[in-house]
Amino acid sequence: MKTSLPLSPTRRITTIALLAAVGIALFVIESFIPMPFPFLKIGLANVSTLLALFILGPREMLLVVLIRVVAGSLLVGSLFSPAFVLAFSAGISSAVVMAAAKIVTRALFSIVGISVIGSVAHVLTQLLVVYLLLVRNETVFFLLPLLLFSALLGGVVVGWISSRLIRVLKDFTPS
Amino acid sequence: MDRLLTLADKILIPLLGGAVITSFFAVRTLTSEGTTVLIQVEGKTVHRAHLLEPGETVVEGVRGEVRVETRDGKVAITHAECPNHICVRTGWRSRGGEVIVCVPNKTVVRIVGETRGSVRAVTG
Repeated sequence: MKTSLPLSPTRRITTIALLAAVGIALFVIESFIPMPFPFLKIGLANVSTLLALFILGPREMLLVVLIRVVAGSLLVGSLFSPAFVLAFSAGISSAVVMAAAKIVTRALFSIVGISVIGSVAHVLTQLLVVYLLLVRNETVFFLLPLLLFSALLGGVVVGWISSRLIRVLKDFTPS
Repeated sequence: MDRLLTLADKILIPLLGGAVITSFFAVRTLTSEGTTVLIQVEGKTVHRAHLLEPGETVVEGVRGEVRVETRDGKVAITHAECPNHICVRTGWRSRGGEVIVCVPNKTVVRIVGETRGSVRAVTG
């Protein structure tokens, strides 16, 4: 029942564009969800990031993240703001970590595991960037438990959503 | 992607959960360095003191006088006009969030931490 579709350059570009668009949409939608603290996010946009990683590959995933963070920030009006620097560095770093984790550990972790690794990397990068570039106050690390917890929760939720989607999309994905 | 969670996941996620709990307690013990002492009678703050400034304050509780002393980064009720002196027996307190209570006098000696204030400054 599994049809193997070839990954033509056209197919590759359109899938990247589609996933980036989905990521942007999810990012914007999520920005409307009120949260007690602005940095507590579920990270819904990472569903598209994970799909890009598991359907296409690490290189494509990085492209999707890049497009999503820049265009998404443009849409919510945070381009060139401290929030953008945070989202950008955390997003890229988490993407790199996820790609590295997938490449190095192969099939050891499922989508959920990779998602959790990514969300934790995201949150840790955020803390580091805030400390090094914004607020040179050690007390920022007191937010670690809360941030870690939300990262864990968000990572599992996003990972779960992605794995359900992948199952449906498996028939249409190359290889 | 046959299963939802692999074996590695089932190790990773509880491990991270443990990290959350550990960091929570680590933060808790670190934010106990409060330095401001509030002395409140019937809910109203009648005096402020500092743990680091040695001194004695006498406030008028509901039943009589309550003597509060700060010394060496600690605070205690040294004397109070009350039947059981539970407040005096509470002894010295030094951690943020801790309280010494004299119920008959409706007096509360509360330690307020300043580290909590800085966290609020970060989150906006």
